[in-house]
Amino acid sequence: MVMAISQAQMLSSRTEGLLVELVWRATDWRSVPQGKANATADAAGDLEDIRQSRHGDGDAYRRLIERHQKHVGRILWRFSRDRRVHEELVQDVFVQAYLNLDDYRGRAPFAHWLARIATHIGYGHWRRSERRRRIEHFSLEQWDQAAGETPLQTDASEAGELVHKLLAQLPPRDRLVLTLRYLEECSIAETAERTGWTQTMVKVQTFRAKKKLERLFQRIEKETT
Amino acid sequence: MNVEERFKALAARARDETVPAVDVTAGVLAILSAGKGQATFASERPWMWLAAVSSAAAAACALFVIVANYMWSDPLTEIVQAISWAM
Repeated sequence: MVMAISQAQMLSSRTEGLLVELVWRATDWRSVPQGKANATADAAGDLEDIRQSRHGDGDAYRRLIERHQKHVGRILWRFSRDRRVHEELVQDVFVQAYLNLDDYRGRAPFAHWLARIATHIGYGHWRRSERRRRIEHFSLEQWDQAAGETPLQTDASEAGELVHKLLAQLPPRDRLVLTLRYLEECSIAETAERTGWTQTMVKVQTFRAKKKLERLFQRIEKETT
Repeated sequence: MNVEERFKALAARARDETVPAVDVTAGVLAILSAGKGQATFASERPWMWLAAVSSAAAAACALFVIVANYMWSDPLTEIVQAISWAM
């Protein structure tokens, strides 16, 4: 039994080794742009570090975290702007990723796989804190103030805060689809991939979310007048 | 500019925001090393398999002993047991 397991592990590590070698050899370093070459090098580095992490190499997993935490942090900043919660969510992503590392098949870049986990963890956080979501105050004054300026004049951080507060008024599903489509600039296919929904579902949910956003404005306007 | 257009423009502006830097490396490795969240390093896996195989073997042995004891018990013992029931 133990022999069979170790043989299977050896075979699997040989296959991964060959895959890494193929990725390296398939790239002609003199003809590709620098950015693309770096991305390919990162992909090869990811595969090698994933292989080593699966065998319990903590240093390999440390390298993976260091390489991807900025990207994951950027995604999760859309889900929580509280620095402590944000850090906890990023941490959860890498713990979950490690626990499910065997499920990563290498068909898509590791960053995409992490983005999917990050989306699920962020969405879970919203669902857990749904009862408190209306506590975040959103006033039309802020919106009117921002609307009075051209978008480029608005401070990026203020714009982020305002969009976050506005979306916090919506249920998690609507919030998620609008965040992915407009803040993350995901296409329908990418949104479907990140959420696990079908593309039709994403289209329907986007339509509904936009309608809810309009109704929300009408309601707030009525309340203030 | 209507609500949707304004929202899209603000979202585009929000994308330029500088996100606070995070460093979770030490925290994640500490959680995984402590075994929280059912984390198991690969080096522990052979021991888990060994424990599982040993448990399965022990259960099979116990079952065999019970069945053997039942099948091959002395007829005299059965008679004595029947008498003790009757008494």
